[in-house]
Amino acid sequence: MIAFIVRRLLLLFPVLLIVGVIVFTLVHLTPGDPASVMLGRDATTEQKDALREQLGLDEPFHVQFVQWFGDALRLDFGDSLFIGKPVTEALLERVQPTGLLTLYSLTLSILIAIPAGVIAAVRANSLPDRLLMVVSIGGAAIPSFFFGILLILLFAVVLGWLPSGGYADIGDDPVQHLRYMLLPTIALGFSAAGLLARLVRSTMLDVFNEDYVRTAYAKGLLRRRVVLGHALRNAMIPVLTVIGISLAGMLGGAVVIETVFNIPGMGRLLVQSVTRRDFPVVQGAVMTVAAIQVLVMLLVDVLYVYVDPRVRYGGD
Amino acid sequence: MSQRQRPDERGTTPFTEFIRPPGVSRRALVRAGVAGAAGIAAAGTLVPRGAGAKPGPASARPALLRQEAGQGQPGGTLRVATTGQPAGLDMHLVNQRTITLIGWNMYEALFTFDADYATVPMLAEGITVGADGLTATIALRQGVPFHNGAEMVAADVIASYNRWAPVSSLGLAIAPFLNEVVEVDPYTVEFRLKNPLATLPSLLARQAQGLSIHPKSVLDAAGVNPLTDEGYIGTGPYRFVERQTDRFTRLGRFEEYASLETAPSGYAGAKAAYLDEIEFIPVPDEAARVAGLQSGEYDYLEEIIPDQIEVLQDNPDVTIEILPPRSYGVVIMNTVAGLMSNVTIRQAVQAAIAVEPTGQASHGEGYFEPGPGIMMPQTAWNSDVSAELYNQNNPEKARQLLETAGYDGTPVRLLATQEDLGDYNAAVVVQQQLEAAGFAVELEVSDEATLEENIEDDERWDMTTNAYVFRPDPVLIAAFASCAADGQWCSPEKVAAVERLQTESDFEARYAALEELQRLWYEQAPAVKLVNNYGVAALSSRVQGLLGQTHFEIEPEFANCWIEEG
Repeated sequence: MIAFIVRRLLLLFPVLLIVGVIVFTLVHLTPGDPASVMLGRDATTEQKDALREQLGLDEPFHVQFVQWFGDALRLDFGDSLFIGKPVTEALLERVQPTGLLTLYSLTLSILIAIPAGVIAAVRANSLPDRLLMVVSIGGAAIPSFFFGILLILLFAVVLGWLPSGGYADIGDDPVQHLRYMLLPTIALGFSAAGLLARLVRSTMLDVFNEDYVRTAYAKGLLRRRVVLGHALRNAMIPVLTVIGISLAGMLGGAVVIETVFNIPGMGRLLVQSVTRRDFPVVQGAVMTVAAIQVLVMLLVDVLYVYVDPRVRYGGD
Repeated sequence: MSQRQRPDERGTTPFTEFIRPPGVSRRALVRAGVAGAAGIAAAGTLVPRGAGAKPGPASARPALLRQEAGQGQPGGTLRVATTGQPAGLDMHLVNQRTITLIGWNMYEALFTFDADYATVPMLAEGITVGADGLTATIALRQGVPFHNGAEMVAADVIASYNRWAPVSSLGLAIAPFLNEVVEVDPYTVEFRLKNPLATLPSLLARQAQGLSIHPKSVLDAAGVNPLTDEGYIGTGPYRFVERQTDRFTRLGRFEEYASLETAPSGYAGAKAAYLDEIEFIPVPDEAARVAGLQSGEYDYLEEIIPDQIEVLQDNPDVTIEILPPRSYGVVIMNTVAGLMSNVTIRQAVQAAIAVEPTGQASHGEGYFEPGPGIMMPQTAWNSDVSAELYNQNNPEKARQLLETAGYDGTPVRLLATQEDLGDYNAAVVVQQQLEAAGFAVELEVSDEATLEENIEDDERWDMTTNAYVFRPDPVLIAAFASCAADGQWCSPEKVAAVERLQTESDFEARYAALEELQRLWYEQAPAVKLVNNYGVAALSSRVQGLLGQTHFEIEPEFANCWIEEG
């Protein structure tokens, strides 16, 4: 098991290398000049040239690449052109809002999806099943940003219960933090819950047809024990994979949700850095997201062992 | 009775009268020949505008109240939703709208613009010009503290000028006229000139990337590098407190602010810091800004698109005001390379365009007005010269001109960006109109950064849509004052007309030069003027002392404004 994890962690490096080469090339091939963006449209050519030189952007492409690549190997992504801070520092500042938003949304989607999926499967083709599935299809079909705007209209504009956007640090003011995070969490979590609930339902229905479920009933076990103890645990394996993938989707969705709710997270930083042509931040952020993806999938693989005792990795 | 000619509101120096671009009344006199004194008074009468005023020519005139100082309610935080967050607040280095909005609450300039857009002293006490016009002596106000406690003196002004002049388009416009700037004594600065430069005070005045005055010690430490948080020090009524990237920029009241005694007028006169704090919060999403204003999160929006105004119109907690034009749309053509270097083809473009549809597409009915003037109607400079070449809507004439020019159907590369929807929508309409007149047009849509890079290369574009933002004086518009602005219009006749605008001191002579410039604009067609776009202010009804007090064309100032609780 340990060997498996170490091997997977070592695989991280070639993945990041490929991602790094692609993102560096794409970013530098994109037209648009950071100096012009920073100085505004009326800036003089002399002004822009001076800034380019100061930022090291006047070097040829391959020189910049070698320089950046050497630093990136030491986990130094350079300094942001725009914010004037090291990229790692800028990213760390943004990890909290995005990390917590993703965590809350994922938790919410699991809390909604698993009970909904199980109930729908147990009561398959009944009215509750149909209702739950209509709602979950709705959740999956409505884009999260649109749902977010509807939530803002209802809870912030009409009812005035919650703020329409912004962010408070959890350390500074936990209550305010939760008030700010509630609507974006619902917007992001509800969308993910829809797909997940449908998956739980269908895998549960598959599992109900398995021999061991019939055996469990034949032993005289209570229905609740069979559903929760036998069926659900086996149904969790594909569900776990989808949770891992939906985490990736949520990081993508956070980009949009952070803009709608004005949350200063990594997604918004990435989008704004693209429009600002803040190359080092774009490169650093994409590498970070890629690393998170790899680590999440590794975590999912490790969790299989606990959900399904038959799964074994390596020789141990 | 007009209040605008009271001399005490203009400062006390003789030159102030000499340099000001005279208000509507003087122009009225020029244009009407001999207008009666009553007519002058009427033109200059100041009328307060009510909330929710409908757009129209009448509301498009400046009509600022002269506010009595000391009537506001102290306290509270004003929350301003901005379109983004600028890279720092170094106004010398960066010309960007949000920096202009934030910066002029913290920093001040030697001169500023009053309610009638006359140039009047702010940090300067006044200016006197030698008989030969080659020395301009600026006396500074005494006892004006910076936010760091040090007093503003001549050395600070000179250090600020020397850092700003090489990097700002305004400073570069002064450079050919200037020998040196010297300190006469701690409260006097002298500009020694090669040639008379009548517009010097306007070039030094409060505007986008204008000369803000900072302590010499701060500028020496920063050198050519951008100022950092510790270096955002000015003399303004609010001082810098804190900023966090993409979260907020916070200003606080500067208790030691040295206010002028004269009544507030436009950007000039007394300034009272009623607010405890001002927070500028970057909210890039348009819908999020509007929802935040509705829910009371924000008190003022830097920008609102007309589509969203309907949403807010009936909300009693929100005030929407249609303001005088703050920009006009233009189709800029590349005069130095490619198809559009042919003046006949440019004239064909001019002939083909009907401006109303571009206004409807980019700003919506009721939020624009057509007008041929290349200077805004609320300035003394507005003119109807060559109006017959404006808004021609004559595809037939365009075809004939294309035939004369021997146009071979080469596609015109029209660059546009959806980051500015107004410019983009105008480009789509222009494309249709040009195609109807026989042009082949390729609309190339990209993001702003890409568009700017393409425009830097003369071989990569033919035309683009943009807007010229409000400037109180023609020499302050880069496309007129410089040959390097987008499109690079630089005919000898234009250069000569601009030189007269820069050097002549008499308004009538300068106005004649402006009319010449406008005639050349329509004759040589370096760009096609579209419509004047009204400004729109969207703010919480709690915010008092802003509408009808400050100007909005070069961003409002939050001095003298307060929050009415309850």
